[in-house]
Amino acid sequence: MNDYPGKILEVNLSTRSISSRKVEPELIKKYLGGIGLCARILYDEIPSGADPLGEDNVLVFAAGTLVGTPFPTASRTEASAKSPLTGQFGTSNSGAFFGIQLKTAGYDALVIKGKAAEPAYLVINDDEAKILNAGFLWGKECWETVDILEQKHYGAEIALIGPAGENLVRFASIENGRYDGWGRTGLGAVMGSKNLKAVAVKGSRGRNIYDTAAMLEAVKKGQQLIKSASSYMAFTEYGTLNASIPYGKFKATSAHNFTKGTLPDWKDIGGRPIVDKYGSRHVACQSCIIACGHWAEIKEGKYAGLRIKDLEITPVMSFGATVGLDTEAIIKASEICQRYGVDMVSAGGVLGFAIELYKKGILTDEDVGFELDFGDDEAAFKLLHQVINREGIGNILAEGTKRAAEQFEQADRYAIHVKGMEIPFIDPRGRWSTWTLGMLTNIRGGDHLRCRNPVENLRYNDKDEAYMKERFGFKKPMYDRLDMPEELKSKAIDLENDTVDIPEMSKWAEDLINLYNAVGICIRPPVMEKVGPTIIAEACRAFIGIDINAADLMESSERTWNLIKLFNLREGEAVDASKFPRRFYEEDIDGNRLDEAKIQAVLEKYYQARGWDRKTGRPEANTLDRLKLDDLDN
Amino acid sequence: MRILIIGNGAAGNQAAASIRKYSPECEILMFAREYYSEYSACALPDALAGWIPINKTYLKTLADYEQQKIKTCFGQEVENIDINNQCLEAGDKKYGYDCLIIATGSRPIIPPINGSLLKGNFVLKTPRDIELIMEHKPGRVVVVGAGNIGVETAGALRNRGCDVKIVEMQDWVMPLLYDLKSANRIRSLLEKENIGVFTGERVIEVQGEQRVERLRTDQQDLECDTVIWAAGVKPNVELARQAGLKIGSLGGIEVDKYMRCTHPGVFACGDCVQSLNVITGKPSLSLLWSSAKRQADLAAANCMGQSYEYEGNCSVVIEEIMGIPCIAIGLNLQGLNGYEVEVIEQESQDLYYRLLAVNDRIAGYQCIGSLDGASSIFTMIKKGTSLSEARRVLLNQGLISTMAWYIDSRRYF
Amino acid sequence: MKRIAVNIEICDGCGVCQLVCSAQKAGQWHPSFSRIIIKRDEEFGLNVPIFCMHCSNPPCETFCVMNLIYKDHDSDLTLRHEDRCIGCRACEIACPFSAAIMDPISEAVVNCDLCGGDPQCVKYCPAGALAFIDISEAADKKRRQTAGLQILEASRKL
Repeated sequence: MNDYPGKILEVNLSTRSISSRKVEPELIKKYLGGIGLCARILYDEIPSGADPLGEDNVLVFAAGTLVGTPFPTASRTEASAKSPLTGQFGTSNSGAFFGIQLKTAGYDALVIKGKAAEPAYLVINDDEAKILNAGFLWGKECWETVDILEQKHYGAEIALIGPAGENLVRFASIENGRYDGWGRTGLGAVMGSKNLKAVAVKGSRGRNIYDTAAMLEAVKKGQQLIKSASSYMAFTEYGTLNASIPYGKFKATSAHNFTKGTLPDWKDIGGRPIVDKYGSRHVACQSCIIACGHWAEIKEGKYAGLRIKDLEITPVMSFGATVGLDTEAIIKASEICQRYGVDMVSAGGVLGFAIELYKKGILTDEDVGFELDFGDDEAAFKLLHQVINREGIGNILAEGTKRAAEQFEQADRYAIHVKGMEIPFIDPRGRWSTWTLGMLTNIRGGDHLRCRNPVENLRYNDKDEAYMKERFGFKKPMYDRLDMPEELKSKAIDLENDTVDIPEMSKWAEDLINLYNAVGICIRPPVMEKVGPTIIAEACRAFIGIDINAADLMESSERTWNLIKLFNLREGEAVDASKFPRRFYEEDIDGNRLDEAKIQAVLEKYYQARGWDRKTGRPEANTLDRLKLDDLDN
Repeated sequence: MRILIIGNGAAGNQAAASIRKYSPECEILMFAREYYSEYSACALPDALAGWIPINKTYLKTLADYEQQKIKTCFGQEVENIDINNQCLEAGDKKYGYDCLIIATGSRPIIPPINGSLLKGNFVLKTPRDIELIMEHKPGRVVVVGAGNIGVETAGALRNRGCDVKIVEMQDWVMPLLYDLKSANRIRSLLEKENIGVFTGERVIEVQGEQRVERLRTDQQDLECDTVIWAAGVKPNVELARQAGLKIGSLGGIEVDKYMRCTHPGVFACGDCVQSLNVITGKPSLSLLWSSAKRQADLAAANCMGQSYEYEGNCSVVIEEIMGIPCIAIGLNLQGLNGYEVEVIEQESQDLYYRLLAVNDRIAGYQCIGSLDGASSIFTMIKKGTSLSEARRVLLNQGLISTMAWYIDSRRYF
Repeated sequence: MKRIAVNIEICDGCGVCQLVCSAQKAGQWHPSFSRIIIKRDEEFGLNVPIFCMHCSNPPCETFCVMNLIYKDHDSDLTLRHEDRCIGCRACEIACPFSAAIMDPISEAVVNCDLCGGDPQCVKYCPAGALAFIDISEAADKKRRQTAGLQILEASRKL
């Protein structure tokens, strides 16, 4: 091994003590980095039943194993803490340049504990870490804060919260510089509860390479693999917006709080043409060869002069579909979320929920103070600002959809969430797939980013096979090239009948994405289609020189997934919590509603594949044995 | 064609090298008082500190001169220049020339006070001085003068484990480069390194029986066994004056824009000349390596029949103190005395900078804590860029995209 | 004579060039150990790679106190005897393009030497923003690229 692994920097804001320790090589072998390290640290260091917004919660930033190398898309850093939104494992992943600075400062992970007596921010400059007073930053929006901190700490990358995090909005995000962020699960509120405004990191050390020639070989191979993906060209051009048109066509969007399936002029609001209209140059995260982001600018109209990075499917769906805004208002909404630090998916979900309550008469003019309607951008933004500042009705909505719904009678059926987290833009009634099952089995609640069929084919939407299977839709060469152990591949994909077995594929996809989050690479479809554990193992071996193969990596990833499941069970996850919102079972979209019994059957099979007990929800003893998870304290 | 060069420093050697670019064949004779081959005066503090070996300060071997086809007359003092007959005398011999390049350099000033000749007084000008200092085994050192040489020397000896103090006549350290506020930052860096800094003190005498025992200033007695004089340097112009060439008001040989002296066929360059400052357009002594090389390059080109003008000198001094980079470019308030100066400054824990502007034109820059963007500011100062022009470029997407190297300097405006 | 040419419209700032360069030249990964540096400007959405322009009369050569920078006669490149560098950083300030880089591993200031005619940054640039071309072609290529971009824009609108 070379100088990998690096160190863990631990900051206790209560005692103002800062220490660092070397990461045990064994720990890296078992958990790799990124989400693996986060999971182990959270499991060990958060006392059971801790208040997510209390002093006992622990916030961890961990850069993936390969971050800092030119391995394609290796830029990502996982941030984790107990979530104030779900009360369970809260975690989010972000790219850009924070990870490489953390790594080159010599750290694999940054652990933040305790609570500062007064607003503070953390500056890390290689070995030197300081807790500084942030009184002059408190209350300032993110972009302004970044401007100030960039001027003060030139060249540093900054993770920070906006007013929403300060106000403990339960779905506040941690922003990663101006335009990126750790959005989901309310980590911004955790940072706010610790009185921590920002973390500025600058690293000036290089990282050694175990075998440069082999590493560059792996980089070249990785680049070629991704470039050969069928979706590569489309993604370099239009990024994630590629998916918005098919989902509109399938009537599977979150339109008007999941009541409509799609909107009449969906293509113009959220499709690829908006990239041509508003986008300019491409922009990439560290080491990315896809560069799905664009600089976007509104040139005329009431939002003229507004510039953001990224035209992404998430805001387009959350604000375009759920709230019904037009494209320019979507861009404005993204800006508000980035400036004030809220998660776009949850913000859109909460707004959609409130608007529907208002239209149903559950929320009255008296409650809100002004009229609400789908598509009314000014009212939506006014309400969003109330949420951010916890003013009026905003104070209730800032608790998240699930908690807000408890405050109003009859509101439950309009609350769209799984395990307390607002679900993003895909409606399983319109299209059932590995992706939608993932929302139920997800370790962080209603979310689309931890499970997706690596070879999902958006040309098809076969409902005949629904629940247990989805259509594969590719020819044999695609099957042959898929980097998956043969035995599992033949179980998950049935070439003859052209189907994918959803429970089997779900397990594989979750573990694969978990692996990406551990080594720090991106889950964009061209990567998922081509980059499997084999090439990742090759890169890990060349970079850090540990003897590890593809099977080891997948096992490590599965270990992390199980550990997080154990964390969630310890923090009170109910066995029957894997349930979609009532609306999905009770109301039709385009003649479709979900069949609870059939979903239960799929879950049953998923639990089998995972080696989990369906009755208790717990991983079975032999699963824990196999994954060597026997060294846990409780 | 026969060209004589007096001086074997940065200027003399650069002149010889540049002449070779134009003419591989013409005859070049180089005269020097000492036997050294060319060395880098700027690397001497590094060698004194022990960071590099002394022999690394030499830039050439005698074989290199031969390879460049430079005839060396080292160890020969030039006694006289007869500019009317185009010849000079050295060691009882006469040497005629077509062109003469005077690059006699400068020497450190040791004021004529009691005890300044006692054993234990040193300067830092040649590699030999390092050997002398180290043979003396310095323990408690006083450096007189807090210019850049003084500060570097102090840091170097501190690195050798000596107890070091600096005495400066003016009110703050590096008074010709920095203003009070930035100098105070440097002072505290030096003090962090356990170097005693005493400003506003005049040295009265050096005391001791056989060797240096203490240094007396107008305020105190400093016990020491070694005194290093870094109180400035003086151009070597005696030979030129004797020959009848005009010496300028600041004590340097007067040259025009083409580095020509007041007599045809005679050029001068380097520390021994006074040249125009690029910012004020007034005569100044630029005792810097880079100026010497630039002037020598032009002198050589012009004596080979070209006509290149010198754009004027602009000072840049970079120091690293306690690992913190410090940089001063252009002039400080003292250098801009008589002008109305606009000051843009910003201070934070890790960084201090100030930009000085006269009539909107950027004239000086001092920064402690970072070198980012400094090269862009240096370019702007040399080009005479105005603040408003700089801002226009930095804040215009189209312009900055074609001059992206300026991006780092945006934060200073 | 071949040189690196940049198309700043295509560069998306991924920084692969920097990491590959630093690995090859400094032996460690770090973006700022690289001889090619991307200047990123979020304000205007710019990513511009900067590297040694190999000036015909390089200011770094004049500023070098160790006289170790020279113009190579055959290739016309600005090269260095890096082993003699004392790290005074004068050339860094002298370079108008900020293209002289302090390499903290070798403690020497360095500049791009085109990897002896096979620049690795160009080889690994995923976006194709860097090209290694004959300089007489460079101006011509710039024109063609602009034209190419216009065609691309037009085709999107169809």
